Amino acid sequence: MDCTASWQLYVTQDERFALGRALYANPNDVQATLAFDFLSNAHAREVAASIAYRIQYYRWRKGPGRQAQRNAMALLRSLLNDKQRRALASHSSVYVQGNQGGYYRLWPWSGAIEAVEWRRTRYRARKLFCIHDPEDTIPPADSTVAHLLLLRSDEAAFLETANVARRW
Amino acid sequence: MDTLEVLSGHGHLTLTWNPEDAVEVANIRAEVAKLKVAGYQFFLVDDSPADEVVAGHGSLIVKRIEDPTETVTEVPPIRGRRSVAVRPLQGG
Repeated sequence: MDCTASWQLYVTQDERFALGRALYANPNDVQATLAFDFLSNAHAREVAASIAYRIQYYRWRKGPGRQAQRNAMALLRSLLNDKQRRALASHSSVYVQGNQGGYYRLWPWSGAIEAVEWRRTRYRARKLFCIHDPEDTIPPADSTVAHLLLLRSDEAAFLETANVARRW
Repeated sequence: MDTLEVLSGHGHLTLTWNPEDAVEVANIRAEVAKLKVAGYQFFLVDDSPADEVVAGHGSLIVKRIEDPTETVTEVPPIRGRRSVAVRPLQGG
């Protein structure tokens, strides 16, 4: 089921953005989700994640952070090889290998990072990590640069610092 | 010219300096010391293997710098090296 389809029938756009802003500012704000008590917890989390992603996306792609994100993308591209640059252009993500051999997929438009495993014909996500700037002021592509540098220099420290947000 | 990329909220700032100019080196050392106090982590990126990567060989070599004030402003500078200062990261 598309979890974003049903709740849209009950929640106005203003309410949706109010919830999104509240959760974006504080992802653990339970009070913000109580107003939407007709949603199950899992459903609310999916909705919140979807809204937070959209806010993040517009902030850095269309909003005032656009130039900062562009600069950060240029820096990221300068650290990638040709194949990775092509992957970034076509799939908006890039695969890198840590210095201990683990494989990761980086998403510079959201700052997300996943551990991946080769399964039969392609890489599949195994874990989603949560690791970011505490003040959340740097563009997502700069977070990706930081992830890349940490993975290439000290993968163990990366794994020690990052929280696993989700497993598959 | 040597460069230090500082990842900040405005995209990255690129600081450049002439390693043979004592005043510029002193300024950049002061800047690096401030960033270190603010908790920034420093990485040295070796660009020369990146050329090999473009040709399909090698990989990006990155080293974490524990003593940035000296290493970033190393004299004589090593060509093709870049430094990147990253804000401290934490798990969410």
